[in-house]
Amino acid sequence: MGKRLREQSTFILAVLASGRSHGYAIISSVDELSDGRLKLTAGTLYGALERLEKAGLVERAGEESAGGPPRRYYEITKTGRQALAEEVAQLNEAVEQLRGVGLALP
Amino acid sequence: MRLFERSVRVLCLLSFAGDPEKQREVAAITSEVAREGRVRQIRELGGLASLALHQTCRSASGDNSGLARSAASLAAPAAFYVVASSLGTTLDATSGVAWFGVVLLALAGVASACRNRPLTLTLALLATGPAVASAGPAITVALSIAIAASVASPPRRRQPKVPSLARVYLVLGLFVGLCVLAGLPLLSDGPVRVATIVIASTLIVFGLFDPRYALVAAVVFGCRFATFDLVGLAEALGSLGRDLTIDELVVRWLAMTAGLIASLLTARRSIARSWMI
Repeated sequence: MGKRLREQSTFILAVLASGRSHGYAIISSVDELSDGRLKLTAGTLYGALERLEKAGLVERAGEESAGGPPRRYYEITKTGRQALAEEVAQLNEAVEQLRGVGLALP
Repeated sequence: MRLFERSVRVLCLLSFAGDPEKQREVAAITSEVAREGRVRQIRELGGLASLALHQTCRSASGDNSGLARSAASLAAPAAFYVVASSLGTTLDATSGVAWFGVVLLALAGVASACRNRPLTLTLALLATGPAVASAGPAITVALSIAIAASVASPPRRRQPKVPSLARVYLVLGLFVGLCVLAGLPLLSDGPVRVATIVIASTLIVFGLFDPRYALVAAVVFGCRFATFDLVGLAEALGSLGRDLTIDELVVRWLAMTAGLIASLLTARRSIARSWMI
């Protein structure tokens, strides 16, 4: 088994799994996806993106400029999709185990 | 340029020293997000500060492989300072601080020699020579720690505008040395204790993001622990048992124990986090 994913990395991968995106959009999407629970700062986002890039889970996908400053895009890699699927499977397994000991989970 | 933008630029420079494009990108996104208001600006600065700590740790120690050696080179002067200022019978706090300056200079010299920097080496030797000659056996111990730490410390990658460890030691040492030469009043015993607590607490907070600082805090508390007046503590505990009077020594001992445990737990958590993506 490889390195575990931090919560913010899981959410970033989940956002990128639905298509390539740039920094500002990733911050907004993670906020939306987590119902406002996870508010990424730029520092947290770029720290996570660098770790994900180094691990080969995310890669750069060009730059675009629509009137404003140029934006660098990121996309998930095949390894990244596998890592995300594994993380989700582990989370599901944990939930099932907790249900198994009689905890009433939603 | 406003203070916020200036702080963002400095933190981006520290985080991505060799990548100007990344610096611009992160600064632009930070400014964009920070338009939400003052609270968001403070959060963004906090996020960038923690990123800068992460990145400097990574660049100094690689991917955890050189963590212990890098922490040792940071902890050596702290350990010497605490030990020197704790040896109350042979050294008072003032000479502890002065010696700390001498050791920083010596450390700068050794670090410069290791990295082939003749100018800082010459400066350090000129400044430390007379002090070392009159300092006695404790300085030998301190220098041994410094030399061992410098030799063990990993070679730093060259990064523009980020000061090298040798330069930091040199500037600190020159500052303390000049204070001593000018006869300026240095810290007395009380402020030394307060400074130890404040600095060690700050190190623990930094250690949440960079495990090396938590390890340095553990060394500071550990050295205080090792040089503690155990006879006095035993007497203080005795009087606590007899007439329930709480001596200052007991409070200090408890504070140190709490500090040591907190710094070790922080280091453990921080190291565990650095293994996650």
